[in-house]
Amino acid sequence: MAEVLGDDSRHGAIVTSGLTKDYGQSRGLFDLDLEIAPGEVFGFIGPNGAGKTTTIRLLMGLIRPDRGSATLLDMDSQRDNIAIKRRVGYLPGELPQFPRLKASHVITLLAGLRGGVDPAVIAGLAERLDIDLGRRYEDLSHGNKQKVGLIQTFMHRPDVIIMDEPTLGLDPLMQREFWRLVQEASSAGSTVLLSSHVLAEVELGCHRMGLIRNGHLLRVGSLEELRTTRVHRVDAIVHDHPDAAGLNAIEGVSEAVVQGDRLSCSVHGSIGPLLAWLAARDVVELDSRELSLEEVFFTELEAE
Amino acid sequence: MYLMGLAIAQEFADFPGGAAALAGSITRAAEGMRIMRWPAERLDTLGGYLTYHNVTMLMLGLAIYSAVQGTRMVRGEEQRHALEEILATGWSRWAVIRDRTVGFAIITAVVSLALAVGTAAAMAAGGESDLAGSLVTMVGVGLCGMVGYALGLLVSQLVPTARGAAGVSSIILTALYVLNNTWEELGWFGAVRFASPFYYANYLRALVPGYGFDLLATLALVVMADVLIGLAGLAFGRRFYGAALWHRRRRKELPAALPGVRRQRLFGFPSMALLFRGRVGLIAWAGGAGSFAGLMMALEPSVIDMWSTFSKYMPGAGTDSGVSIETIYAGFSGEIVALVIVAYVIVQTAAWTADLAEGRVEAVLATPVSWSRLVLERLVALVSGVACVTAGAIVGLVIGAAGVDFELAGAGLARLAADSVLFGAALGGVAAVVVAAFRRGAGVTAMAVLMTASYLQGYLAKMFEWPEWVQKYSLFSAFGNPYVEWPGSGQTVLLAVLAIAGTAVALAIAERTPKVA
Repeated sequence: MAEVLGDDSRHGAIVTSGLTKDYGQSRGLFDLDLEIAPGEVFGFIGPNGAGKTTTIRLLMGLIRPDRGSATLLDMDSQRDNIAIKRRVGYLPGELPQFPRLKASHVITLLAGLRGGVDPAVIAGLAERLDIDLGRRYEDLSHGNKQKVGLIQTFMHRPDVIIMDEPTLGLDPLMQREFWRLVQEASSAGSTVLLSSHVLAEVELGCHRMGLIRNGHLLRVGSLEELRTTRVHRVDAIVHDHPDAAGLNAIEGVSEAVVQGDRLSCSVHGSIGPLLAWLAARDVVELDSRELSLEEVFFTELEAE
Repeated sequence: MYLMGLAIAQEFADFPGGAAALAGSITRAAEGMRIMRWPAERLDTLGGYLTYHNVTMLMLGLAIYSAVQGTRMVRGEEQRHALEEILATGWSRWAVIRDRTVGFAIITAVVSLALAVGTAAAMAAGGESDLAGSLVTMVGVGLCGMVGYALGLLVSQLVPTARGAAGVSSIILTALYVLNNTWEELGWFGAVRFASPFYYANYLRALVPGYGFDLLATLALVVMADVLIGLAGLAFGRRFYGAALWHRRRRKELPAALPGVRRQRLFGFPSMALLFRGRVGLIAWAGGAGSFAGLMMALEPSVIDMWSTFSKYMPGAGTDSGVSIETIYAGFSGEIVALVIVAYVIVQTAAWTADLAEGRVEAVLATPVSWSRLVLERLVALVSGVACVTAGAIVGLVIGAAGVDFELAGAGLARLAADSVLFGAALGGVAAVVVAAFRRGAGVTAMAVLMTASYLQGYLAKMFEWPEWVQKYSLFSAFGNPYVEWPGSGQTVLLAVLAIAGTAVALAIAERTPKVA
């Protein structure tokens, strides 16, 4: 995404407060406090069973929370559910089955229930996503069914778009087209919340992202905000034999391993203190690699 | 079966002149109705009567059920993408057919054994114990089922969808059943009976005095099933996975007609969308109800003949009510629509359950439609469907009546139509509660059990002399015989309360339960 929205543009198109749905045995969603600004593209990241779909279903009013609240466009997700759904586009994670119906019929049905959908918009989306709506829905591949789902999500130009694993089954070209659609919607003022377990694509397409695990939101931030906590992996060869304890004592350094003249360690935050320490030790070779957000998140998840 | 045994034994005892007189009275009507059940032999015995009255229809029912299972066993699994993983393990297509056939044969054997035990108990209850005869009879029924399964399996290899194959197989089996019942009247075409499994199964009617185990008939049924399964295996081995053996090459698709605003408006109501989606099925239901009612009406002369002699067999109030015997029969024919409506509602119940399980409810509720509205619109669609089915039945009655020069009363038909719609609304209310409460396939079973219990309630209450209100307030009794007269106000209130209260309770439950499976 080209630019992260500034704080002044955030007035909470989607706001949750202490939102909780407890399925028992630590499954569900617990005390979710989240605010997503108008026009923002927010990525919800987490492994399977983390609570992403539960969050989305709570926002859509498909299930009732045990406590807490959620508002979309300043309307309560439960009380004002119908009014909300007029302005929301929703792509479920599990695609519905529509036996014996053509894809065009499925779209017509859902467009009819919404009312006032411009057929030209549907045609345009079908063309961009390269899908023939004349085919029977059940004969379509998973990716093509996903395209039908995307058409019904975007066709009424919603103010809020909520999608559960939207790129699942799409080929790389279509994924690119999908992100264009998201960008265009965002530019037009729509707020987008999407879940994924592929951080790499969310990293590129979202203004902010939240990491969820076991029903708890672990971290939220923009790409830049999350970068400050990014980790560098440093490998070096030095003439002066260092000791691991001294290396570990440097600010931000962890997981230090020393074998003869070779050392490797992780650095959280600024790499300056380590560079100052290395400068005094006759460095022969130095290799520093910033871990991707995905690697950082995986490290954090594994550490839990 | 057990209850039938008791009931028939009681009839033999109560009938003036005993079993022989009863058999004499029924034989003529049975001849007239041979298209539905045949042969009718030794109706003066419990074994003969049970075989005629129950076993023949059971044979057809089990064969059709098995055919439907046969269509699902391979093609249905393919359509659900459940077979790819099995074939990917290196399991051959022949092995898949073999294993599934063996599994189904075991199930059929267990079902047949259970039926044999039930029949033996019925025979014992009626004072004609015949365990061996019961077993042999049910061997015939079970083998008929296996032939039905094999036919379904084969047809499903040849037609595009499992659902289509189920329809084609059911039609073939019904045609073979009817042709076998009427072959003596078909001239040279009567030879078609040799292709009918029911022809051979009739040789195994060991409950009928004079019949026993017939090895050749048994072998014929086994060979029929084996040949059909073999052909199905050959077809499965030769066709593409996921496609019928003969399928049209896909033509270049024309660009899809985009959903116009007018058509979108039509689908602005979920009830309209539901009716549109099920329009072909609804036409079939209406056609089926019409055919059934028409056939009943066409049998009027034969049955009136019997009733004229034996008024005991007239349903309802009989001639004592002051209503003509012809009117009573027309009403009896019209009552058939109640059974069709029950079957239609149970199928709709299954569709509602599937809508939730297969994500369609979630998709619809993502649009500005509330759960309450969806439940209400489903009921509107169901009642509209019931109205179509009723209209089909009434058209059938009118055509059947015209065929036998019988004049139907317009007021009677109007009462029948109104009562049928009210009955459908009541059943819809019950079905809505059952689906909201169970949410899964168990709801369909619960609905079927409820309907069967309600159907039996009237009969059992009469047979065992239970209090009058038990009989009066069953669902079917509440439907009454509207062609003859509007049911009592108590029954009307019962149906209305079920419709309204059922809807209200269903709405209350639905709003408090998740909208996703």
